[in-house]
Amino acid sequence: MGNLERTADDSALWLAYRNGDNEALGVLAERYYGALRRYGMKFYVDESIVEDCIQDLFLDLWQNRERISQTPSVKFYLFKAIRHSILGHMRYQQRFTNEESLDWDTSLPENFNAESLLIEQETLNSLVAQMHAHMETLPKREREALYLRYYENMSVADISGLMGVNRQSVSNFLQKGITRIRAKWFVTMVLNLFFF
Amino acid sequence: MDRPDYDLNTPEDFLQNDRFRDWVKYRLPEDRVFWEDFLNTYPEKRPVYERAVAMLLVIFGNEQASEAGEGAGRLREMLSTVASHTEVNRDQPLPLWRWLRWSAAAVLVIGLGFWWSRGARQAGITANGVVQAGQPAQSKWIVRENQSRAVMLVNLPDGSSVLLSKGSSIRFGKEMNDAERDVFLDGEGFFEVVKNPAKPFLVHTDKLTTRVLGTSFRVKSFPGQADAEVAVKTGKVAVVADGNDAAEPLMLYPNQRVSLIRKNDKFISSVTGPARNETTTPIETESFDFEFTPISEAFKTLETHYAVKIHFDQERMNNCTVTASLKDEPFLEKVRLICLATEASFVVNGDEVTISGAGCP
Repeated sequence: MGNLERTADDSALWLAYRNGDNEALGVLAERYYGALRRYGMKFYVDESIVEDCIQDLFLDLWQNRERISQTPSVKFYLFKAIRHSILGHMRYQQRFTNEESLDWDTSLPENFNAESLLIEQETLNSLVAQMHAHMETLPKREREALYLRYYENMSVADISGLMGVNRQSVSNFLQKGITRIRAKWFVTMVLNLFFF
Repeated sequence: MDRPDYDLNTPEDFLQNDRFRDWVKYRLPEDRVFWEDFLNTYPEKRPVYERAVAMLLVIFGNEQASEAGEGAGRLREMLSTVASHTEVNRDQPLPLWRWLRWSAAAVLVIGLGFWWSRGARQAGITANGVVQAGQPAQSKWIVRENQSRAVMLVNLPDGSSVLLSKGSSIRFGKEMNDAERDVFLDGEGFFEVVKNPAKPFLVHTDKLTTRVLGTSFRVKSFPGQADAEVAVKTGKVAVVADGNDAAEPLMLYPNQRVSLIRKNDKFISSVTGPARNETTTPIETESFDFEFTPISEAFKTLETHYAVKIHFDQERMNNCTVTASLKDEPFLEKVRLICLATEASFVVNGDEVTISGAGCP
């Protein structure tokens, strides 16, 4: 398949893999490795463990290729699988009792290149610090839903399938999360108008 | 999506916009031209744009993608090796590389442990050196001691908090601006550490050193007693027995506990599942989960656990409620976030906190 593979869409690659093309699975692995790794590490799981989970996931996929069916969204399938295996690992470590006990990392990079986003560095730093404080007050599952929606561009339906909660709850999560950050933003803005 | 400029008025509008999200995520030059143009055309939308960028960055969080490329390449190679392997011999269950990988990881962990304990010791030496060089000891260190109270709250310069048990003392740098945040504990303390991946937080005792980046946990090591203990509430910590350079750090996760018996300076019984035992302190099982909780109740919870007095106007703040999950935030951060949510401000004076706010509608 060669160069064709690089640009082929997920479902074509998935089909090829199920027909025994290991390079197709390799392309998918390469395509989603970074995203799966980033997602897994948000649960405060060690980098090495996340990487093991990803490797095991793809090796299992390969071993079981004859039993795997076609899926409407490869990305959803992979995220669901990695979430499952990371939770399994945490259960084994006795860190996981229920969804509520799941952690979600909201730490930030050490510095942002504000100029590359057309903003003054000081302005961005202080805004990020404010928003971060608001974010920290959100329940962990709301943080996860926000991440999946806005970083991973997932649909509400996929997020609800992934996190095992109904669609309405996901919509509520997103709605509540955003409005909570926004409500506080509004207050800050009004205060700024008065005092600066 | 080609002309998003018409309908971008609120931060939500920006967040819902694919083109905007891609721009913040990838920052491609061709998008830059578009957004520069956008900001020039609609300068009044700049504040909203800036807020939306900040919101997205916070939602995205830390990238941690430094070595992802390498790992992906390795995995791809692995898949092709395994594939060609399985054609020949289908029932070889565990390829050699998986064993190799684990042993490599073990070596790395041992190596890190060695480096950590060395780092801690060097920090101690430097500190002593400074003191001996003639500077008054008080200029660099603060010592707090709890002689008689059940627990005593100590707020550290970096914003972390320590609940010091009776008969315990703690020493820490006045500024805490070294590469590492070192505190020296005699006795027992419950720590809630401000997250700062760039500055590890180390608790040194006479028997063991506990190293974290940001989490909450309890350390117990009274001089003259044979046993020491570390119990984790949230996050993860690494524990190293002192006086043993080759010791591997033991990783502890929430609700895990490790005991150390001094006799042979080895970790005994290592990790014991749920960490409840007779030494567990009340704060270790408190979730600090508030859901439309009246503010007086939230403050009561803080007063009980941190042995402080919080003054506020009962009547005026009667309608204020708190909805937040503050499990692993240090004391000051908890107060700050509650105040933020209720538009109040606060002043700390010793173990008394005074809140002033206009109240809630």
